[in-house]
Amino acid sequence: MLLKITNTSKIAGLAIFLGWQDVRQSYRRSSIGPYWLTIGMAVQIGALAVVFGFVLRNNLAEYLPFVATGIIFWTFISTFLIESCQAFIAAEAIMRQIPLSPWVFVGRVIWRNLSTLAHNAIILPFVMLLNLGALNANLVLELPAIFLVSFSLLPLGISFAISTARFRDLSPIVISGVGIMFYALPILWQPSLLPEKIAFYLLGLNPVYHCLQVLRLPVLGKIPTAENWIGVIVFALLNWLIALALLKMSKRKLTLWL
Amino acid sequence: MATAGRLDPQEKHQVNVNALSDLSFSAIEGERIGIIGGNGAGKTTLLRLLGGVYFPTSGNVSIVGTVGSLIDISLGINPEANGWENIAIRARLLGIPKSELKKLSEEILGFTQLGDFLDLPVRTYSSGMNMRLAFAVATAIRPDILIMDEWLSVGDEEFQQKAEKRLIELVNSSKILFIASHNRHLLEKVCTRILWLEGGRLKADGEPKGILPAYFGS
Repeated sequence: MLLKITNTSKIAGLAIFLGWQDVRQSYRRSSIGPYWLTIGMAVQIGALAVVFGFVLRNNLAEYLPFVATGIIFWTFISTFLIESCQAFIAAEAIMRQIPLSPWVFVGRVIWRNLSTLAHNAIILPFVMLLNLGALNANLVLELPAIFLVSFSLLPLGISFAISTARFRDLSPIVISGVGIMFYALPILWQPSLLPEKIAFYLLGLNPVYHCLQVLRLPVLGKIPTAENWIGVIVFALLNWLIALALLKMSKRKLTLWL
Repeated sequence: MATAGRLDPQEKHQVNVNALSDLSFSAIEGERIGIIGGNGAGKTTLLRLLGGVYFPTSGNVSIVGTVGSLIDISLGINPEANGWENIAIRARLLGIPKSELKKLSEEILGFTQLGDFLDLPVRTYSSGMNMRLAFAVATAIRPDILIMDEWLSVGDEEFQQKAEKRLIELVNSSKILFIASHNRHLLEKVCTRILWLEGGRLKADGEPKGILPAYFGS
């Protein structure tokens, strides 16, 4: 409240600080904190690999890393989208007293989820033991991939947070949408199973698919296609345009909706 | 006395609350402005408008200088975090630079006399200790324009006197004070000017001695 924070680095600094506080919160009164989520996820991945591996007779060495990367990165994307709806509602008390940039609160959500992603990533080395041959230098692409996907999700989160502050009904809609998306994306099933034409409509036009691919492929030793990178960049541009328009429209009314 | 802003029933079962309307005033350095009015007269809405978190739907607000608000002193307190962490959280929210955090923490340790309790989670504090911490952190600011919703009085007899002294220091260091209150004695003592709100409109604006007798009815 003392200084109206407008400067980007200050916004990012505060968002990261608050995001860390959320992570620390999950460690309080718990010895392993957020790793409980990781354990739950590891069990889920193991169960899926066993069931689908045996039922569909997939090669486990190939299928397990595929499912593990799918679940881990999808959890990052989907949890961020669901939680960003509540970003302003959860910060109501702060927003009604201190004039801070709305980006602080969505930045906090993305930082918290990036941190959870880092916790969950501990599963990957174990899974890759099954398929060491796949690991290669393409792994370095993971960093720009995470940066680019976060950059494209952040403004989508702002749009969701603004819209949910005004229309609370949006939150359950996003939750169902994310649930449907889980099946529509190649998380459990290999995209090569789809006929080409269907693959184009179902996957090629789905920007979230491209986000998932750029995050997942480098870990599996593959290079995401140009189409994947372009998909994420177009997604980012669209999200930024919509978010900036919504912010401009709602700026003076946002706190009244809380 | 009329309470509440005016309600505008609109289409589609939507009701708009006009919490404030036709409000116009300016404040200059040195003024201590008391805001009075019944429940729902628009006092808190006006304070939020001055705090820069609400914006008018028509007309404009121009604020020069930094604004600090003491509307909710417990803001941002995390009961699971310890005292030191809570000081850090609040300081970050208030925009206090990292470099000043250590000095601030020491100062709050001395003022609150919470001692080793600052190492424990705030949930283990008594409500009085909780208020000491919240009060100390909230009043660590030095804004040009200070906004208060009622005078703050916290803790036991001894602490109340210390708190009073700290609050007066804060008020004296601010250039303009806005305080909403129902306490006549306080308004007479502190304020140089009174804004009387009724139904979201400005009913009177002037010196305390002219307005307070009319408002309190004697």
